[in-house]
Order: sequence, then C-alpha cells, then structure tokens
Amino acid sequence: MALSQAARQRIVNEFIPRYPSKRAALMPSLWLAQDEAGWLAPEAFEEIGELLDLHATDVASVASFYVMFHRRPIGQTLIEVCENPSCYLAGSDATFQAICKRLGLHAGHDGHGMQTTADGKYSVRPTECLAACDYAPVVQVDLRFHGPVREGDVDAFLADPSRFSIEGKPSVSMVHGPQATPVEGWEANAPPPVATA
Amino acid sequence: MTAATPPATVTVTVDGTEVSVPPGTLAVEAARVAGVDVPVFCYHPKLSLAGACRMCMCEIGMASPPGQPPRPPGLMTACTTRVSNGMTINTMAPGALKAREGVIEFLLINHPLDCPVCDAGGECPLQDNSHAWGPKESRFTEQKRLARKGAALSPLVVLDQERCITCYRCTRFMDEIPGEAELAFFTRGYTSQLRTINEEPMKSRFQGNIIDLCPCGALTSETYRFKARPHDLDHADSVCGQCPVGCNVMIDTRSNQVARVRPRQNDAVNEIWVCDKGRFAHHYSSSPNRLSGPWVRGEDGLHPSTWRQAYQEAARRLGAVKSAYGGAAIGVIGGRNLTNEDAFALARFAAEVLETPHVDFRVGAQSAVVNPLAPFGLDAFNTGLDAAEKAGAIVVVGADVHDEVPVQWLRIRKGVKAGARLIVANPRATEADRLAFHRLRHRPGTELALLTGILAALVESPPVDAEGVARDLSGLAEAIGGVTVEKAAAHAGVDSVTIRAVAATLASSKDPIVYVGARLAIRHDAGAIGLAVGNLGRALGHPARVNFLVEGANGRGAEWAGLIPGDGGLPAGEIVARAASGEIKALYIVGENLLETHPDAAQAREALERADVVVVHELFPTLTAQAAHVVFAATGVMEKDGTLTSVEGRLQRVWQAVRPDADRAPDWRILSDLAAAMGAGLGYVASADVTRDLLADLPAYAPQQGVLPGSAGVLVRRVHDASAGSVDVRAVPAIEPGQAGEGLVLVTYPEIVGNETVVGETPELLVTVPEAYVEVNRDDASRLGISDGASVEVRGPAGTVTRVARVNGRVPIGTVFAPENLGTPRINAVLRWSHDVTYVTVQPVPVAALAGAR
Repeated sequence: MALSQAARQRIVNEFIPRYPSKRAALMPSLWLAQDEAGWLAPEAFEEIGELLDLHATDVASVASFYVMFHRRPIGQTLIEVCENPSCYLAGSDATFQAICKRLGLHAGHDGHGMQTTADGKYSVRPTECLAACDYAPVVQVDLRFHGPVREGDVDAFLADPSRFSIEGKPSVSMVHGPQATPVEGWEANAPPPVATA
Repeated sequence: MTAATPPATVTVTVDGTEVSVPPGTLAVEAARVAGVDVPVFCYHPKLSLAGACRMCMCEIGMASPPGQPPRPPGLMTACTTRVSNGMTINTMAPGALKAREGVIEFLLINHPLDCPVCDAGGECPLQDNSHAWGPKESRFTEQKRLARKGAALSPLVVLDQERCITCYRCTRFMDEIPGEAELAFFTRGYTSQLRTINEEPMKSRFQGNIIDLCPCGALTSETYRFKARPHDLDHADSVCGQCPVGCNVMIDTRSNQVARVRPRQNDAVNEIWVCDKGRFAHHYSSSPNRLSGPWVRGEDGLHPSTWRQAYQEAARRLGAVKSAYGGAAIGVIGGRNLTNEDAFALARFAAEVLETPHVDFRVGAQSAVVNPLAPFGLDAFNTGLDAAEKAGAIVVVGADVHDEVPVQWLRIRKGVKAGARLIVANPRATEADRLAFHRLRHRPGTELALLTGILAALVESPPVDAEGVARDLSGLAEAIGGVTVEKAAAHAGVDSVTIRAVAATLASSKDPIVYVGARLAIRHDAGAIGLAVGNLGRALGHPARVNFLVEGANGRGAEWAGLIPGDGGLPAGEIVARAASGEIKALYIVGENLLETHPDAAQAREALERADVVVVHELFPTLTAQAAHVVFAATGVMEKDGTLTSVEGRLQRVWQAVRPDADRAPDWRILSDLAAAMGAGLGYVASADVTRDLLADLPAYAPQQGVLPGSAGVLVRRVHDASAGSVDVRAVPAIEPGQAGEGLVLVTYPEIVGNETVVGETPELLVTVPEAYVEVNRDDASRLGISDGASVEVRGPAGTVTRVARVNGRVPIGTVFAPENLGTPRINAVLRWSHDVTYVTVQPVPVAALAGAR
C-alpha cells in the first residue's frame, strides 16, 4: 500500500469533510501521499481514487498537471533553479549549468526534464518564476528559497545551502545583471566564504 | 424590490432575427433556433460545458436597464453564455470573425494537417471550420510539436496526439455518460497528452462513442482505419441487431461490405450513443466463415446440396414426423434475433404448416407465461425507454442493465444524475451498484420473496399522498397473505431494515420505474413474479410503470409476432427436455445455437441426437447446425429489409445495407419455399408482402393501421382488455421453499461482449473479451484454497468445466458467478435445466492435471 493507515484516516476524517465534494479533497490528499513517500506511485493514485470515488486516471491526470507532484522517484534533495527573466539576467543559466556540472549531470538545457544523480542524493531541474526576483538568481532547495546563488557560489552552495537561505536576509533591490552591485549592508550578511574540497 | 417571476421565454436577436427561447438557453442554441450555426469544437449538447476551444466567439450585447445608456457588446463564447431578455447575438461581427480566425490559426499551429492520410478527412469539423472561418495562411514557420501517432488507447480506439485540439469532448464523455473516467489529459498546456493511467488499455464498453465525438481525427477506429473515405461509402439506416434496446444505427458500406456502424440520433431510444458491441461487431456479415447454401445430412455427415434438394429433404422428414405423430411432435425454437417479418413467417409456418403449438423464442424458458403482467392488462414493458431520465426512483431486479441493455444503462445513469434513486437487487454486484441508493444482495432464485417483502413493507407503511392520506393497501395485505417483512427477508437472505428502507424510498419517490430481468420472465415462477411486480406498481400508484426486459435483439417482436407457446404449447426449455426424452420427434431451430444457449448442454445434445429430424437456419456452422439434418444458410439483419421491435415495443425499420450472396436467403423466404415444398403456402415473394401481412394480422400493430414508420420508428401501444385493468391486486402465491443443496450457488448471465460467433469475426473486439472466469468470494476462496487467477474446476450437476478464478467481493459468500457467453465449453455444460438453483463445487485444478495438459 502506498498510503499509510494514518494518511488514509486523515483523508477520510479530515480532508473529505472539509469540502462540499469528495473530489475537492484531491489536492491535500496528493500532498499527503507525496509527503509520505517522496513521490506518487501509481498505487497511490489507485488508493486515493478509491477513497475519493475517483478513477485512478483522473487522480493521475490532476497530479500530472502540477510539476510539484512527482510521478517518478526523485533524489533526497530537490534543487530547482529559476530560469525566468530576472534570474536569467542575473546569471541563473550559468548557475544551473555549474550545479549540473558539479553533480556530474548532463549540463544541457532540456526543457523541464529533471535529472537525478546516480547516488540518488540530488535531483536538479530548472523551474518557472518563484516570485523572489529580489534574490536572483534564486535556487529552490526542497521548497525553500536560496539566493542569490551565482555561478561562482555553487561549490559553497552545495556544501551548505543553508548559508544562502533568504530567510532572515533583507530584501535586495532588483539587480540588473550578474555584475550589479548589491545594496549596502549586503556584504555583511553574506555567508562567509567556504573552502571547497 | 420584489422578486419578479422569471418569464416563460426571453427574446433575443440573432444576426437581426428575433427569436424567443426558454430562459437559460445557451446563446449557441438560441442561434440555432434562429437558423444560424455558430462554429464549435468543444461544445456538445449532450455533454457538460467546457468553454475550452473559444471557436464560438460572438459579439454579444446585453440589454441595459431602462434609462441607462446602451452597453457596448463584447466578445463572448456563445457556448457558455446563457441568454437574457433583449440580448443581441452578432455571430458575424468583424471582431467575432477575427477571433475565430485567430483560434483556427492557433489550433492549426500544432495540428499536423495530415488530412490526406486521416480517416476524418471529409467529415471533420476542424477541416470544415478551418475552411469556413480560418485564415488563408499560417504565420507559423517553426517546427510543429511532435507527439504520439497511431497509438492504441485500446484494441479498438487509436489516438493521434498531434491532431488533438484538446476540446475535452472524449474525456467529458467518459466521465459523464458511462461514468468511466479512464481517459484523461496528462500534464498541461502545450504538452497535454490524452492518456490512461499506466497506459492501460481502455476497458469501457462505450468507448467507441469518443470516435464520433472527436472533432478532428485524433481518435479513430481501429477497425475502420484506412478502410474508406466518407464519400466512398453507401449508407443505410438500420437498427442494431445485438440487444433488445434497438439502438438506431447507420450502416456504412463500401463495395457491398460493411465498413463501419455508427449510431443514428434517436432521442427516444439511444440518443446518439451505441455500445461497442453494436459498433464494432459487424464483420461477421462479410466473414468467409459464413454458411453458404443449404446442407443436407447423408449417411456420412452433412453435405452441400441444392436448395431444391434441401427443401425436399426437410419437407419429407418433417412430413414423416407430422403424419406419424401429429404436428404436436414438432418443436419450434428460436427467432429472438430475427426481423419481425421472419418471426411472423415462422409463426405462420409453425401454426399453419407444421401445425404445432410448441413454439417459443425464449430459449431455456421454464414457464409458458409469456407476459407476466398480463393479469393486470399490461404489456410486458410499459414505460418508454426515455422515461428513465425523469424518474424519481428506478428499481432493477434480477438484471445487469450494463451488460443486458447497455445503452439503456446510460439512460438510467442520466436519470440517477438528475436525482432518481436507484435500487438494485441482484445476487452479484453489477455496474449499476456503483450508483445505487439501495443495494439488495438476495439469494439467487429468491426474487419472489424479495418483491413480496417490499410489498409487505409497503403494507406496513403505505405511501402518503399530498393531502397526508395514506393509500389503502388492505387488498394488498390480503393478496400477499401472511408474509411478513421479516419472513421474506430471511428467505431472501436480505436485511429486513434494508427492505423497509427500499419500500420507504419507493413510497416517497415520484414516478418510480421498475425493471425486471428477462431471465425472471422465463423462470418457472414467472407468473408469480409478474403478480408481485404488478402489485408493486399498483401499491405505488403507478400501475403502468413496471417492465420486464426481454432477451434477443427482437425478443419483443418475436413475442408479438406469435413465436410463443400456443394452446397447450410448451415453453422452449420444455420442448428441448421433451425432445431429449423422445416425446418430441422433430426440432425446427431458427437462428439459435441451442448447444450454447440452452441452460443444459447435455440435454440439448441429447435432444438433437434423439430427434428424427432437426432443421436449422443459421448464419454460421455452429455446433447446433452441425448436428442438424438440414441446414439453411440465412441472411443477417444487415442484409434484409424489414422491421424490428425493441424491448419497449418500438417498431423500427431496417433497410438493406448489404446485398446478400445468392446462396443465402432471408428466413421468411426459406419458410415460404419450404411451406410450398410441403404442399402448403405462405405465399410470400417479397419482404414487403410479409410486412403488409404482419401489420394487418397482428393485434399488436393494429394502431399502425398498416403504415410503416419512418427512420425514427414508432412506439406501438397495444390495445388492452379494459376489464383486466380493473383488477386492483392479485394474490401472490406463498413463497416456495428454495431447493436445498450442497456447495456454492451458481449464478450465470451473459456479459455484454462474449466470445460469441458474431464477436469472433471482429478480432479487435474479441481480444477485449476476458478469459472465461468464475467469480468466487474471497472468504470462499481462502476456505477452498483458491487464489486469484488460478485454474479451477467448476463441477455442477451435469458436468465440469475449467475456468480462471476471479477472487473478489462481487459475489457474496456461498455464491459464484460465471458468464453464460464465455469459454468453451460454455457454463451451460454444468447446468441441469430442471434445477431452479444450481449448486456447484469449485476446486483448484490438480497440479498433476495441469502438468499433464502441458
């Protein structure tokens, strides 16, 4: 079974009563299933469908609409690099390629395909705008924002992403290209340089 | 402000023409009323609204409130905009034309424009709309999207993803009409892909309809693919000859061969749908395996012969039996799949030439009662098929409506979605259970007890009318004697609480409809069940909303044509039994493979071997035909002109679609010629002669006054004996104790598509037929050591067959199910006709036997 007993109970007792129709409980159910397993196996679609009176195809179709639902197993850490204009102009493409190279992945830009390292530790993919342009180029690690992560920061970033976390970091004004100077005070908050192995 | 009552109609102006339409009408439909066709792709009147394609853009203006300046009109989708009073709909506004042109240009960006190799070419809305509304040139010079081409969604339906314009008609159909959402769009936007989960083939028995709905050639038929161009086809209006619903179809032929079968719109019958059996199982018509010419048994088996010899031989042998033993030594069986003309000729032949009362189309029938509702002055079927969509409650007893009357199941679904409460009583879980408000899982063979229990519950708390007055059901209390809800419930193996709940639901529902399975109408207790069902209708205040289904494509027509036991006549099952015991000396079998359909294969074999003469009309060299003395090669329903009468009593015409080979003749002609060879005469030379006679002679068709209906058919209402209608209630016989036995009770009825002869000629359909199985309850299976998918032996009173076990919860503990029309030999090999309830044992096939088989 793809779903734990606890998850089933939560779907039945908490999610379904919350909405006027059972189908409306589909999204939280999918999130719950993915939280448990890290991804959504075909059996999860069957089981959620059974609980919500939906055909498994319908469930899988909804899951497929959203790129944040994974229909294949992914690495332990998911790294997503924004490729939309602000980040792109701030050099996100170089960041993306550097991350790929560092992790031994094919550095080409093949649409939205996700690549996973052979040891299963990392999955990397480009992503659409994360609405955090003031930290461009933004890299999302397991749904948490990090930035700016420039090409030269990649080793330090991979060694300890938390240093690049935007949490607690003041907002920066829009930057216009990778060479733009950060606002005053930025350097003080920047993570100390990390020696790379 | 006081709320104004909504007007009965609203007036709108479409391209300068004023029309009045009901409030809530869609702008696209209002335009149709005004005679203007707004181009659409995603909109379909039988489906929910999507507003997905934007093709129907019109400039629509709303009336302003009095004293306010006029509002400027805007571009709106006519397919999702509902009309309001004073609305102006301008379908040809420059803005609308520009919008449509843009939509077409966008749609064609990724459409491959491979019309020269596309089946839809010539009958394609995308082609037509592009031609009528699209830009002359595309500005798109980049690489088109590449996607799956020629991908099988199932063995029957082929997908070309590149052609798809994502109108969602197919997915809406699957979700809304048969309720089998096994097809969906995956991912989104430009990468949207039509798929099933895990690429599993679609399983629905209604999937062929998405081919008709597809507006662009993305979905095509595997059996019709690359076979013809629409302009090459000849068309004949016809009626499907696969089940008693009588779906209206159009048969498209090319070079005198059936290329495809499509549904024809008839909102009273099939709307615009047809099931996959009706659509795809047509290849039998041009099969090389068909019988050709007559065959006569010599000393060393059947030999081809001339028609003259065959008539003489049949006449000689039948004449010998008749003169030695009298006409009553001849039994006539079959005719449920024939046209009315054939059935009428057969009835006349039996009565006037063979002079036998032993005639019956109802194969396996135990009861001579043909219409169980006759004591109430009713027909066997009294509610029009389309009434199901407006019913307040629908009761289905002893029928798997999905498998036995498939397209009517779609209508029942429609009714349930509109609020009808569905009550399903069946020993096995059926598709209908998914929508059921109450499910009754009674013991096989206890339908009478179940119905009587519902009557007893109604007597306890009768329906109450609008004034709060309870119906007086004291007569009914008397009629059912001392049967209590508890007693009936215990006998039927159902919870008495559920029976009371069913009665309460029925009592409080408007316009209930009762459907009773065809197999209950031929069982030994058919008369009693008819009384219970008739009383149920009366108790609910709807005496004429009770219906018995019928078997065979033209079972009702055969009944009305007189293919039923005459005075002292025997039911079909009894005819076979008497033939097996030697009392009946001759069998005349028309279009019926008794060895597979009589519910006792051994007895049928005995009857065929023992009879002095067996004459068979057939399309194929079936086992029964091979056992005959004289075999006549007959024509199928697509090769004839004539009429069929559907389960509801709708007289419908079939026009000849295929000219038959010279070596095959319609049944009425064979009978007429054979009668002449026997020195009598039916006197028919043309099909129209028979039609004229049957309209004139049969009381059922008296209201027609000799006039044939047009393509839509006509619902014939029979004239009833008014005095019979005055009977309030009829005594229901006391519940008989069931036959006790050991082992598991076997339930059997046909699946919608089995490996029947006609299906076997369509390999694409045949591969969707499951391996012959027996369904066993999980608990029984674990007790007996049977695992899902294992080979098991089903041993019944008459024999043993091997089946694949399906272990699930669809059958209750103590019951097993095996479909009638799957497997060789058929499950009838284990049945004894004389047993009302068949007890079987199911056990794993010994390992040694399996090894030996290899």
